[in-house]
Amino acid sequence: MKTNPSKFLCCLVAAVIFTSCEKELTNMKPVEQKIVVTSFISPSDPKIKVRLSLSYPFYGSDNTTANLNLKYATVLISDGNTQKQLAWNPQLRDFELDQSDFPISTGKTYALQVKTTDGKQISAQTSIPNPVINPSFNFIEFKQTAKRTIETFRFQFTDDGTQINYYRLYLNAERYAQFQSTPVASGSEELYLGPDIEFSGSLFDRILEFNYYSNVDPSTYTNKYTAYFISCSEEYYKFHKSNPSTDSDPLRGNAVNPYSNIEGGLGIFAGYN
Amino acid sequence: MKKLFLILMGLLCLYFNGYTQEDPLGKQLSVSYNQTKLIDVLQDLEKKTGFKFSYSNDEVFLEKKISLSIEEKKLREILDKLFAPLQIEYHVINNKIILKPKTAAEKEKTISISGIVREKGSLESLPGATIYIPELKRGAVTNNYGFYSINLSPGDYTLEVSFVGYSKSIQPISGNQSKKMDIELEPSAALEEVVVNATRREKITETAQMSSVDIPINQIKDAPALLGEKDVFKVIQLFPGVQKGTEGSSGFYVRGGTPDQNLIILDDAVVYNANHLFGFFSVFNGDAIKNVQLIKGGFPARFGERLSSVLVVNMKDGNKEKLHGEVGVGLISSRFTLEGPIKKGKSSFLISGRRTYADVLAQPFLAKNKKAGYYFYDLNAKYHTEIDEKNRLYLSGYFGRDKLYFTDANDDNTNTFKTNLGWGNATLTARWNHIFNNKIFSNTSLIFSDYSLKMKLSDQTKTTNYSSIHNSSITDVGAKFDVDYTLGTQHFLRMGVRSVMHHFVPSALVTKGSSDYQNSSKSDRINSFENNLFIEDDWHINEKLALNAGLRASTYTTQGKTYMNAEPRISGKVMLVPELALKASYARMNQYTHLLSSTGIGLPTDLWIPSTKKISPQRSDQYALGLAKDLLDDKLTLSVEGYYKKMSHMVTYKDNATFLELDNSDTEGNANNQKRLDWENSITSGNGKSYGVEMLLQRKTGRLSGWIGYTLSWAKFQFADLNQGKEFYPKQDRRHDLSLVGIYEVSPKIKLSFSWVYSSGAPIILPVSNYDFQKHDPSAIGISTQQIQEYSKKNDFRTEAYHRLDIAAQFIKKKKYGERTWEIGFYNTYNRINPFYYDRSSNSGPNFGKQPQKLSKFGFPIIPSISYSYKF
Repeated sequence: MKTNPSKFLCCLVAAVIFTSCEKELTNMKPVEQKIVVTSFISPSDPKIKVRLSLSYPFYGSDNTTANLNLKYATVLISDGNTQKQLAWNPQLRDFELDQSDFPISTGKTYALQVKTTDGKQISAQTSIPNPVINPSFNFIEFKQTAKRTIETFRFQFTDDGTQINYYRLYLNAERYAQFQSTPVASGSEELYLGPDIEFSGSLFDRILEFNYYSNVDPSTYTNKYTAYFISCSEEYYKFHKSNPSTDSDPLRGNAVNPYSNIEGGLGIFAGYN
Repeated sequence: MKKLFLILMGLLCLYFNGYTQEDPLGKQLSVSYNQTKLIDVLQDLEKKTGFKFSYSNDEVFLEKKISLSIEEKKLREILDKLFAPLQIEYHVINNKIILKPKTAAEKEKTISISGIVREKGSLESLPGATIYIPELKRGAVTNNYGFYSINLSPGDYTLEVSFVGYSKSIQPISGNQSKKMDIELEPSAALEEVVVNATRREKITETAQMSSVDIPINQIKDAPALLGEKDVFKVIQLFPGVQKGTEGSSGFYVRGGTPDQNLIILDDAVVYNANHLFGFFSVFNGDAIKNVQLIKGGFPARFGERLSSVLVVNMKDGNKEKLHGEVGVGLISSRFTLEGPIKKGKSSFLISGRRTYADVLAQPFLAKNKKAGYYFYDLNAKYHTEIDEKNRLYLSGYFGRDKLYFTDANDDNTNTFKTNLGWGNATLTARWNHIFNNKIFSNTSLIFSDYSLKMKLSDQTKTTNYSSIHNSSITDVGAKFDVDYTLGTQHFLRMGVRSVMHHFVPSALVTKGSSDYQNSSKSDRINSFENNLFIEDDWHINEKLALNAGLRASTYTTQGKTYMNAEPRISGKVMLVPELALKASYARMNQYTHLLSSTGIGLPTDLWIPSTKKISPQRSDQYALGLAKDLLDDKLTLSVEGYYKKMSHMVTYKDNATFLELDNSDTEGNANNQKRLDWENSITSGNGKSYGVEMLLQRKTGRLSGWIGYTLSWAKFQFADLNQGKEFYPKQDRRHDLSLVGIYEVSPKIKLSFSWVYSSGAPIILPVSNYDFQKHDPSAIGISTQQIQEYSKKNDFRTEAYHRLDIAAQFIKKKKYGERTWEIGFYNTYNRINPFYYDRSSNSGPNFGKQPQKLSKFGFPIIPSISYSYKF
């Protein structure tokens, strides 16, 4: 068989070009698996709840993601004087403690400690801020355009002006069709107020619009709105203000981790009121 | 008739014979002194000529060391050259030569020699040419318009005028009167280097300026390039102190600074986005460029506005003697240049253009109802005229656009979706040179510069339509007036004023649709006014010491707030021994305009924003110290420099902000649904520092030219809102950077070139794990959980080291009407996969994201290129 050298050369060049664009990196060092904590504590909640999970490192062997059974972890909460252990709840798969056993109080600082059976350990601390003073929530107006519904509400409260305070205003909406007890749709709007907002030390007045696409006849349904005024600890505020990065937007240059106050781990332990 | 001619010739010979007999100093002789004491020189001349020197020991410093070498010249010329720099006058009485120091009035008397240095054949002015008086061991450099002026004591001197790539011109000057001397330099072929002294050997030790690189345009055109597209920026990246961005990108980082800290000036106009094709090519078409200078530190006071570097690019004026042109065809673009006289010797024009054609070639392969493509084009044009001996006018402009488009329609055309992304620069400069006299030169410029980005999107069905236009732009309108003044014999002053109005539209969004709620308009427009005033003195203190000291004052007014800043500048040199100079410099810089970049790779989505009430101007203080040495009969220059730069108030996006989210604010609308965009809250400011050592060994002329550059450097940034306020390494922090560039002219028909670069890995941030992220849900309807990535600390990883070899060969042939060149090149010759980006992938399925994943790097393979050009 006669070989055409120019064809062979073309094939060789093409092979080089098309196979050399990607190269797998094999020298990545595995990253340690970390405990992830999610816990928000408040005097108004009947129970203290701590949810634990693990991070899944990307690189390394399968062994790095060995299943660690977190239900055997020791979870302790302390107010500086008293320390209590939280118990595993197999239904909700979290750790819980009744506030009747360990009350959460305004102005106090709480520390959380978690130890796992394989020696992993994390700790975190948060404080409970003062409650919101004189909150009020009022419906202002309802606008209906061709395909849009805009409902406007007024949030008012008083800030004592004595320290840096953090707030979260949260409006939850549920739509009920006629003669039905479960909502057919729900949604929420929220607003975070932090140190960049100048509180006057007196009445704080903010309008929040609930703006949604709708071509349904308003007379065929009812809306139920619930407003939440949350006085946040600094940890609570920073965590919720930090947006996690995703892979989806290549134009994001500053990929970062959300705020975390967990020493030795990830997640959040934050107080609110 | 023949007899009459012979008689006249005889009389002429007798006249000259008689004249030489009458001149007591007419005797011809050769002398050579090297660091010889004056008393020994006089004794030697007495021996050789029979004359006796008479002088007072109090008036003549006999210990002065003299270096003088003259072959077969009259004694008068030798004495002129010997005594002129010593400020001594002499008189001959019988066989005595009486020496006296010049009187104060005579010493103060100066003459000025001034003129324009041009290229022979085209009359193109030559900025940066060196005028050197060997007798005085000092000189001057032509300004941006080829003008020079030098003051001298009356006497006889030699004027050596030289420029890289041109034969040196040696002109004797004598007399007591100021005069205008325009000088034409002849381009020299590299092969002429065998004639010693015929070509320019630029002396790095002659000037106080440091941290500056002049790049001969021939080296830019001869160096190998990606896809054969010659690019100024890619060559700049090969010099020490300049870091490249990502693979293939034209963006450059100077001494640890960011890309927006580079001032890029084309004929006095600022070019805000100098990239085509998402940063792969720069906007500068090599065929239209006359010269390029990059200043990395020791900034003279005439430059400001940016912290890290100044890149001065001057367009050719156009050939004033004959019509000349060049066409080129490459793999991705074609180009043409045409230049010639409008009125021979007086006025000229130049027009040069370039366009890519990938979109045209791809069109036949696309479906009928789909259209997609990308192209860029640019156009340079210039008109130049010499109104009279003292007045010259220049009108130049640049216009370039990139366009990316995509159209998709249903088969029945019931739904059409269109996107269109366009961006580009436009500059226009009108300049008037006026020469007041031999000492004073002025230039007045009117400048317009614009950069704009427009992103259009439309979605149309039979019953509905929606369109949005996102716009961002910066427009400058300004004027400047500069004066060059040669004061005395030691000072060369430059002063000037500049005033610019910047009109910023950081972000504007207009949406229109068939429904009411879809109609909205949001924009933010800011006018800022920047004024500068500078004075600068090039002070030649003596043979060993030179200084460039200056002060630049600037004001910036925006939103009712005015920033005022003074920027002291100083650079100096001390000759330690002949051909070795110690140089030092300090420069403070302020920057009032900032670039917000999501990716740092020169995408058009990078936005220019002004300093405002909330955003302070950036500031830097840079110190540099170095040695400069001319080697091997000045064929080579070597410089070693260390620098330390401190930067404050740098601006960048806050974590996770993008240009599309600049309107993500709590701002409230007005009655007309017009909203002000609150982009200031999406950014953060911080500080940085960089330091390092650079070495450059360069040869600009000869059959083998090129350079070796090495940089050892560190850069660290700290922003309150990034990396939890902790210091981090920016992406341009590469510890070692080495470049080798060589261009070898095998024969007049063949040129070979190569470049090899090596850089340490760049810092990057990588995702390292997945985990569950839960926000607090006060309604307790359900906790929303999303799986997110844990990232390493900011830029905690380093990419692999980068290295690449490019080679090219040019085959040149003279044709009947001109010269054609075929160029064949290979980018990344040994097919090293350098990291362009990293990607992570894992198996799909129920355990997606919970298994070890594969990290791959993607890069460019070997890329061959071929191009053709024809010059006439």
